[in-house]
Amino acid sequence: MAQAGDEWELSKENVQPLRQGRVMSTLQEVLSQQESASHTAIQQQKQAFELELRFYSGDDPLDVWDRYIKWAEQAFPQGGKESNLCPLLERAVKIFHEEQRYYDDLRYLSICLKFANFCSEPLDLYSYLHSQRIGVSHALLYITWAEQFEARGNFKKADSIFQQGMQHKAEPLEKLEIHHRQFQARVSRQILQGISEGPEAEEPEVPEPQRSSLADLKSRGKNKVKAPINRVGDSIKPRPHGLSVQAAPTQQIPSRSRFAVFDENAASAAPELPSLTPQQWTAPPPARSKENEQKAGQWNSGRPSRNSHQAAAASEPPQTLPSFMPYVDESAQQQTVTPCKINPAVTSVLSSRKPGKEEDPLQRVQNNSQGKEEKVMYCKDKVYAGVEEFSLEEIRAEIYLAKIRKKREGT
Amino acid sequence: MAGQLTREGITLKGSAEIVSEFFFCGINSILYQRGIYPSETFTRIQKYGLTLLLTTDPGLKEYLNKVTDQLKDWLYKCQVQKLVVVITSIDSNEILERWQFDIECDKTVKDGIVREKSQKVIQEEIRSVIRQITATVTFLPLLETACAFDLLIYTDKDLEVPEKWEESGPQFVSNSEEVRLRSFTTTIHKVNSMVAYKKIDTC
Repeated sequence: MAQAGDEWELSKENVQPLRQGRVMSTLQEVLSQQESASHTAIQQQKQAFELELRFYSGDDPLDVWDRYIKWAEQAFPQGGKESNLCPLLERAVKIFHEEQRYYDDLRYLSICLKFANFCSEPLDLYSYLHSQRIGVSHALLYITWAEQFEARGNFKKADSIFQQGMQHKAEPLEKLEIHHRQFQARVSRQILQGISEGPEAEEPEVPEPQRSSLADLKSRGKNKVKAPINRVGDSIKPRPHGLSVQAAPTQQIPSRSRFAVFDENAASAAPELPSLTPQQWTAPPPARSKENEQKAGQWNSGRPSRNSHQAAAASEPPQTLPSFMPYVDESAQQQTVTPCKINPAVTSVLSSRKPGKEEDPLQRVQNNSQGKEEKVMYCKDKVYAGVEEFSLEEIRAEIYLAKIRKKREGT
Repeated sequence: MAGQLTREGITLKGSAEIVSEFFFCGINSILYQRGIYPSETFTRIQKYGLTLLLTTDPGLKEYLNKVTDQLKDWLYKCQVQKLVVVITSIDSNEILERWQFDIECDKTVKDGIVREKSQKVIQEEIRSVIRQITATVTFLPLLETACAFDLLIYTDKDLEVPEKWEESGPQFVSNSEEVRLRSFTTTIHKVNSMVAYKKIDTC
């Protein structure tokens, strides 16, 4: 059944759709290589990009990053960690966010916007971009920004973003206006629908089951201890009506006394523009938590305490005697047990781990910029340019090879 | 269709019917997948062992029925070469996608001749084509603007064209990437499918 050239269909579930579409040839190449598990061509291309990042000598370093990022999008259809897209975008955003000349560059803006998708709070990044005047002349910024507000149901803000874009005369203005019109059409259609559904549907009751707090749960499966994770619908145990004296009021809570949710739409009679409050922070907001990425750090920071060693040795317990006598060769020498002191104070061998300090990427960035003065005595920028780490030998080899190439061309 | 199921062979008339029905379902699938019409206006049906979505929009339904009827007639006479679904942006009139179905007719087949191919095998082949149409979302670009569609049918020359149909150019996508999809054959009509879409801007 599987014909050549059908790889894309076989792994269609593993391909993340891209807004701009995918190049079929790359997609096929990548997917067919995956099966051979060698991945060599991809690795080579990646290496080439990493090299280019380090040894680029032209006057447009953003170009390499731009191509690298676009390549990574295409070459890793699953997205995910191995594409390194998130750290790549983060680096690119950081490296160039002090270069004024790229602020009006559409490429830099689109990198920032792609990075926003990885952030836990993209809106922060958009307002940051706006306050830094990055890409304020491009319609793309406002369109993406407004889309985000619209997706959250905040139509007023979305509209004000469009208005701002038009005030700034963002280019291409036509595109912005088209998107604005379509946005208006969508909103008015929704409102019309709301009206036609009748007045009783004014407060849209969410039809899907909601989590109710403090509800008894039915156990699920053979293991009686395990309760279902989703506390909705049929997994909630019906309360026994016998002792409903106390239960009755709690059951009514979700229906009547809802939390008074602060509605900024209703509150803001004078809609303050979010952009007019320039952010104090100079660093882009943190990306989504990346617990699976190891950061290089000191190796000898966590010195194991002596005590715990002793405790481990002491815990080899002689008290759990087996119920049978192990057979011992007669010739075997009786091992004399070295007497060891059992420290009664150290009994908690498996103490609960203390929660480490949560490292906030935002803090990390800020600390980097204003922290202690460090003077790097090696070419750090070359070692850590991309997402891979290069050894000094690799860098030297590349310089050497480049020299040889030059020589060959010369002769 | 019901008559077809009982027999193992396939006739010209039956083939024309199967192929035109495929187009009806295929076009509906494309319109749904690419969001040309709002998804609320589609209803699910079971066909070819798949769940397909067919439009409930009366105007569109009538139009598609008319086209497929005409197509059936032409398929029966073996006068069609291609059917193309063109998707254009309403705002800019730019052609964004082009779904092309090449039809190869075996003109030697006359009425009464029965070819050996079971309905089941044909359906299997059609199913894989429609599956592929559904799967194309993995690589097709997002259609960001509101779009309209157009049907082009390539026929033999000097055919009588129904009312309200007009001649048009091929309407190719400029700077396009083309992907071949699977094909199926009833042994009388063979349909090759292909989709062309705009190449990624390398700005």
